[in-house]
Amino acid sequence: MSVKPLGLILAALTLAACDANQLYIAHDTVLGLNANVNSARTSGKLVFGYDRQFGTLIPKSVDIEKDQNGNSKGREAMAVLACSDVGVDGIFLTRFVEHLATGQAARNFAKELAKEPDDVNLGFFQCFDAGTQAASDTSDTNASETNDASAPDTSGSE
Amino acid sequence: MGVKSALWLAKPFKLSLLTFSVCAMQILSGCSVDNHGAVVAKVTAAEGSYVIDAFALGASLRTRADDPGVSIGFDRRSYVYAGAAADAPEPGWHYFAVPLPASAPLVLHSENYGVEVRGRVNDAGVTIGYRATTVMAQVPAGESTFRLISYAPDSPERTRVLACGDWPCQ
Repeated sequence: MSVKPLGLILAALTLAACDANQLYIAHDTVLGLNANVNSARTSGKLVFGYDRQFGTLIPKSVDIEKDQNGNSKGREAMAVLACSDVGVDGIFLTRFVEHLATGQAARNFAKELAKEPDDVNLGFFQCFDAGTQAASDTSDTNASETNDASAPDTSGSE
Repeated sequence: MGVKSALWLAKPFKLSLLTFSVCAMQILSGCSVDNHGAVVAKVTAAEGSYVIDAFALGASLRTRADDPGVSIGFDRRSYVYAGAAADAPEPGWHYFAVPLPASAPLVLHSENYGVEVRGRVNDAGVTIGYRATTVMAQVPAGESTFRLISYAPDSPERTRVLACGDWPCQ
């Protein structure tokens, strides 16, 4: 009889351990031998040699919002809006810039981004502006590359 | 009465001798416990933050809940904290001891050459060789926050942290 409650407690603890209670954004570089276990996700890995990874772990079940009585209206994955800019030199991480909005702040900022581009107040979240600029620069570069590439073809046909 | 007085006077001396002996043994053997012992640290004040870079050689034992483990070899750990907490260490170089604030750091960057054994819930294991890890953000589930963190391990003075609870930031 005493085994059942113990089993239930263990099962509850195991299930609780499956969901992260924190948001993580992390980088990991290994050169050599690395054995790793993530008990929060019940996973592990063994690496011999070189390995680098960037990852984000987002809690899958948090309160969406609360009513006037403080009761939760529901649960869903944590709201996150992030921009990461990472610099590396060989195997070494040289810098990173992290813009991060989570929870209600992320929802409010997403509403702000839905406005007309001229009306958006980015504040210190300038990476969205830089991202848009970079995208337009890339499209310009691609356009010029296309033009350059088409030039020899044209001359060739002549 | 005279013997009791002598013992009472000798107690602080014994304690300081014991402390000195433990410190001397740690330094000579090249080991540190929670950034006390064979460790050199630099505290750098930066925009909206301060950075603690701790360098240890030999064996290092860490008992903090957010970063437990043991390292053997060369170990560097950098902690970025927001603002200026009351328990923040003074900027500059610290030798043999640097106390870490009680709060969790915003960023934890670590580099280890040698052997490292880790005991975190989401990262438990062993590394032989080189390993660098950076936890760039660590936010409790459901927390509403807005932050910018800019960090370069080799230029801690250029670190920048801006944070507020909700949008728009005031």
